[in-house]
Amino acid sequence: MKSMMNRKRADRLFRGGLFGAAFLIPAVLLGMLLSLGIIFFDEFSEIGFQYFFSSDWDPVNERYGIIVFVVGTFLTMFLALGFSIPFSLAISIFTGEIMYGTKIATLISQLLSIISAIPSVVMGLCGLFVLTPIMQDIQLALGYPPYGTGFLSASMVLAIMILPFSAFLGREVISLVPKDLKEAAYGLGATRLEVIRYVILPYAKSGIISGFMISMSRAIGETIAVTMLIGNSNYFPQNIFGTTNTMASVMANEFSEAGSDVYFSAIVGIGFSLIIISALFSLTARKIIKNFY
Amino acid sequence: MGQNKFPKPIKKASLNNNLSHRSYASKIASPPKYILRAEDLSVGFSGKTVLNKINMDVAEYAVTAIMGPSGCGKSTFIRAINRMHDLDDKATVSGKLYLRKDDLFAASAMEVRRRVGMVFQKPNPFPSMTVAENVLAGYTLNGISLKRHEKEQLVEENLQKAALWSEMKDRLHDRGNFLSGGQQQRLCIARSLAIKVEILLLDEPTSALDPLATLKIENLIQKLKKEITILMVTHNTGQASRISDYTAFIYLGELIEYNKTKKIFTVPKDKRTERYLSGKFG
Repeated sequence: MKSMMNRKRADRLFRGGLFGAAFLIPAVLLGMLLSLGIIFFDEFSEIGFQYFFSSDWDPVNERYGIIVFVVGTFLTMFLALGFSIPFSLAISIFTGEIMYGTKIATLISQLLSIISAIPSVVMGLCGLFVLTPIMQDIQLALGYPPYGTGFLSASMVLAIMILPFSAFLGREVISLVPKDLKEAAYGLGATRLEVIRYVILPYAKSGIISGFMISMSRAIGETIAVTMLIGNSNYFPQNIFGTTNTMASVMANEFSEAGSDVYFSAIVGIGFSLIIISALFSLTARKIIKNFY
Repeated sequence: MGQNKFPKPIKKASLNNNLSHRSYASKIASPPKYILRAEDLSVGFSGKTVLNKINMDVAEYAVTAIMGPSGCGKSTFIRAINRMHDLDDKATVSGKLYLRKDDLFAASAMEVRRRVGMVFQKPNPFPSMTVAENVLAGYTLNGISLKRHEKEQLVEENLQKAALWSEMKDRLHDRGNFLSGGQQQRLCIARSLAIKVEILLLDEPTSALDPLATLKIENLIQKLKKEITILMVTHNTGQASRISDYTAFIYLGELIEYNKTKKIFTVPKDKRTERYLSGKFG
């Protein structure tokens, strides 16, 4: 009888432990939002509502508007995604179907996981020393001022950084396409390309898109490499090589310079807005993926 | 159609024992018209022989059943006809296969598979396509575009043939994987019929189905043989005796006996066939 009581108590403890662990992390998120929100809204009367609608970020004259950074964030994100999609898809198909289970596929996957493990700051450095000089040459040849940095350079490096996430997921879902479906398609006289296009990709579609979503949420928050390469100007880019800032890069760049409380709050506000935006983004992404099923 | 002269007749093989499978193979070579011929067809995986020198003619517009215990090589045999072994690097295929006059190993695999339809053990309609799209999948997959009325005609005609039209005519635009197992399997048959294959291979088409769905498929096979040649694998001897005109018995990769179904079930010539049919093994 007693042992029964003990077992029941152990069961309750176990459940309580799981509950606690499961709710701790959401509680931390809430706490983060709260603390950022408090600092931000403390000075909100000084910052003003145009914060969310203005593209004028001028701390010297105490004018704060984040639209440039929001645009910069989405611009680099979509551009980086655009650069990475063809490569990511190709790698997924190559390692998940055509070469699945071979040594070459394993080698490629291992190399990719090394890429995903490279610290962001190292990627930024490589970008600065390898990509920027090349961009400068191109800019000179095309008659643009040769900065080398800019949202294009940042997006290119970002594309390499976010690629492994979608490539891995893509490989997984493609390798999970049932053999009997592929055989059915081959059995109807389809070529490999046709099987991939009409059977494998439609079947793996939702997984592949989820992979891109993961890549995108990685790109939204990527900070150091982007800060090093984007050129850090608080304006919309003037041309394809133009410099600008993302929400993350402006925070990293200006955080140490914030002299006044208002300036500080305005920067914290960017962090607050970034959390909201990425939350909205990943919720929408989930919805989109759900609709694909 | 029909009276094709094959490149060369089956060689009278050297007889190893007095009841060699080859002697039967050449004796049975009397179905009035045959559409498919296998000559010394062998298949191995990673060097291990699974199918050993099969010689067999398959009668046109008839149902031929291949029976045998699991692992005897019967599925391997029909997968060779459809060139499915091309997809497996470990498989080696030797010998000859002729469909009418054409050497199936000389043609491209895609071409062969468009003439030789295959229905698998597990129903496998494409889940991302609707019922109608599944019927037309052979065209889509081969990059052939059809006009609207051609599509409608093909869908109706082939669902009719597969005895699925009355059940499906209001659900043509539902996804194919919401159907019952038996309906899915008939949809797969319709999909093969739609590309006008000359011979239909069925790899244990009813083993994943309940008795009622099985009965429907069996009736369908009986009906279909008027317009198409059917070669089916079954491990169910009852099924072979119910619906086939000719039966082959494969055991340990060898064609043991091949004859009219009636004969093989009443007077089997080989001891092993007799033992298999009486349930002594398999």
